[in-house]
Amino acid sequence: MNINLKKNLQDLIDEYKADKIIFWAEFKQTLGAFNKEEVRNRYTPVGLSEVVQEANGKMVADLNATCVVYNQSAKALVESAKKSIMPALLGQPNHPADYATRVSNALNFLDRETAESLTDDVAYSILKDFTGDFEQMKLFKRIVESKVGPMVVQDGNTTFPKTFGEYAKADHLIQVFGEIDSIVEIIFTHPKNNYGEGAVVAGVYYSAPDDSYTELANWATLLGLADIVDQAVPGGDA
Amino acid sequence: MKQETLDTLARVREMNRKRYATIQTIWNTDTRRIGGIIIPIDESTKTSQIARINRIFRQNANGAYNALNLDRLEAGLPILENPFKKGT
Repeated sequence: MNINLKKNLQDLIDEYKADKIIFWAEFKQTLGAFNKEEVRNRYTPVGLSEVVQEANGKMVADLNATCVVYNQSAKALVESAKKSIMPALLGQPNHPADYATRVSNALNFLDRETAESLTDDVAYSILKDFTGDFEQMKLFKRIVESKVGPMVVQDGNTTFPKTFGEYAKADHLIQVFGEIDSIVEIIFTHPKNNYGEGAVVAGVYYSAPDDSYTELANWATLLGLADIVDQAVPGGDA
Repeated sequence: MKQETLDTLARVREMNRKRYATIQTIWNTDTRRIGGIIIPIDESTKTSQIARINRIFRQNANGAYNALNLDRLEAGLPILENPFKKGT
């Protein structure tokens, strides 16, 4: 499975940056047109200021609408990646008929173990049938942790790698997707600053909206997280 | 469905880019030729041409979003709001 989430998001960001430059050119030309003699002569100074501000407002609204399309595209890319990965991460829902009995047996075996005797190898011999079932392993993890203490899970690593390695990797990816979701919610639509290129009309400088530092930082974070997803998926870019 | 959503949004972005390019061409064109005569284009003509380009773009974007949203509704997915719709 090749997700290429980072590349797709990077392409989208590059496309957005190119569009922004085109927008700035249009912004300057639209407002700059009010400097022409034949246009300026039609208005009083106050009237000119009003029509320029109206044109400015329309241009900004237009850019905001464009940003919403980019936001929808980024969300669609993340959704698409999630739908491709999640079923494999969460395991197959087709359980054998005696699945509940096996779970019950595993619980009994776990119950007989002590904190000292319950090693990774022992846990694996009891739980090997369930390692691909994320929800079930989540419950078993709580039981094992109640005996041996918390299993440190960081960046997809655990103290029980044989038994809970697959689970920890899935859990880590779910957390990464949680972070991606929170960023992608406002990507491209984060409030902009007014430091973009602009035009002087009747002595007043009107600047086009530009992306804030928060937006730029969000892009970098998002690409970093997308890279983690790409590398974690079997057959990915890693 | 996810591919259709991605393709439609890419198409809307492409249409938007073409709209900007067309508007640039309108701004940068100062004359037009009718037969052997070259006539200057005044600002009001340019403004009305740009308004027409914007109107056509909005219609096309609306069509793309409507078609996509019908399919998304059928698939049980939430609809995507068309940000170029007038009044939004």
